[in-house]
Amino acid sequence: MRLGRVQVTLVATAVAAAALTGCTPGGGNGDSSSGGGGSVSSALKAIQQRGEVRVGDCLSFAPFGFKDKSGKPDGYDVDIAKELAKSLGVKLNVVDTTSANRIPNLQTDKVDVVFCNFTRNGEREKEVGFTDPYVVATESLLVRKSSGIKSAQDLKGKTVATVKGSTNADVLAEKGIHVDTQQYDTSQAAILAVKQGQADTMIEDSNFLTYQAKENPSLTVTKGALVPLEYNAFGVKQGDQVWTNYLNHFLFELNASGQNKVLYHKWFGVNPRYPLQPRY
Amino acid sequence: MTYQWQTVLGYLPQYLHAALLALRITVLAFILATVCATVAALARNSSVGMLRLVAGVYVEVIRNTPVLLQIFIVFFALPSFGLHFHAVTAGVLALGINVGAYMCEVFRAGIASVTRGQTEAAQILGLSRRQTFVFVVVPQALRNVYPATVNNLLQVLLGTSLLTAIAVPEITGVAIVINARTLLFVQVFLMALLLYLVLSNLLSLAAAVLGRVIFRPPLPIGFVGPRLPRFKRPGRPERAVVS
Repeated sequence: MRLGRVQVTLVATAVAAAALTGCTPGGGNGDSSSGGGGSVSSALKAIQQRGEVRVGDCLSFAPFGFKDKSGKPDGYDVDIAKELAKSLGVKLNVVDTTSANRIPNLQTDKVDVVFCNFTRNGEREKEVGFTDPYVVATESLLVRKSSGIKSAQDLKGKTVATVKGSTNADVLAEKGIHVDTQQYDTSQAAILAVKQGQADTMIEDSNFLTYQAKENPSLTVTKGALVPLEYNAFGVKQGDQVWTNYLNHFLFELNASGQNKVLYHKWFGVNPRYPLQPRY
Repeated sequence: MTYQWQTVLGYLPQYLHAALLALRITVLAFILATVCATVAALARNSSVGMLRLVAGVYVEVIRNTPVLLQIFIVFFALPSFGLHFHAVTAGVLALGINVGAYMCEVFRAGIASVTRGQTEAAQILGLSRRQTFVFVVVPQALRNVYPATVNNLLQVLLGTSLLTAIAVPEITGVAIVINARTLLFVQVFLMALLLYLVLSNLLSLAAAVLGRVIFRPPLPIGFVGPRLPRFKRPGRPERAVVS
């Protein structure tokens, strides 16, 4: 059934009205994204027709994504996004997003794919789709050098700064360590809180923290790994298999050619610590 | 009741906890604002040039800069000078100082609106400057500033929503976190909106009742309760009185 522009607008309005009155539109995830032709609607087709791929990235999360001196997006994620746009043959549009709104941005079609150091877990698989991993991380603690905190066991009764929408502090609850959590809007705010003494530590991705400690001499990262390894992947809208397949292929090429390792080394100064696929 | 509303209503305890915190911050910040405003208004009207200057700088700087920046400075920048404040304390301080500057101007306008004849008559009757101010000017000025001050109170309440930036678990912050967990943005934020509506209406109602209690008619704000037949409506000229 060919969906013309008028019909698509009507369907979108009906879906929005239904959502506002609290009804769930029955599984209509992929229906509103295509503009014409074909029985398979996928973000891939929409991107090719539009001539532009919209990549959601957290531009306040150096060195994965940040704004350089002239305000343009830059970083490890952005470099990979540039490679993606090159392989698709379209323009790149990097959309700034945050941990809290990356999933809503996917679900409301504001972006085609989300990078943003997105950890793959079962809870999130219920809402969005994921590709294969592109970087591996674990969690560590960022502390002031003068605080003397060496591991999670030293955190009893202290304050932990996290970012709204991130699940990083849950690991402490699982270990039975009682802490006060403060939830900030951005990771920069949380780091500032640790630096200024308003919080004792920040739990975050170990790659990210290593970079932050490099930039802030008064801060340091603890050595241990708080959690089992996290495999971070691209997030896509749930149910779009065509687009997921394309992204997986792109990632395969990126890894097989060694380009991923080169980019990682460029931004973190070391080679990736863990292999992208566990062996079992 | 649909599944989404049921999920969100399951978070009601967190919402209420946040609402109570917001109310507590509002009350404390408003008290601080009143104190700041009174001191600043008196200072700006004083004959001592230094006091006028300091108060003038305070009011102009605070009124002409965004309150969010002020909140950031109190929480993130002051520790560099050795002043560490807990998030809630920093929020109360920032909001109190901010709204205090606005209230200062309201108070000054209220004081200035008490006609000169009153102070002159009081002086002729032999009251001292202080007695004139406390017993003649302030009661009349209070009636003049009351509606604007209630406005400032609501300004404080709505200003607490900005405290989410310094990780205070008040209504907006809690709503953002719940939304990140459940992704039911329509219901989550409607719920927060309703809470703010309830709180601000409660505060307005309390202010109206208080106004009716402490002021003789004509009342400076809308009536609460039945219209008493003895008093003419404000604006209606009374029968001619020989003064």
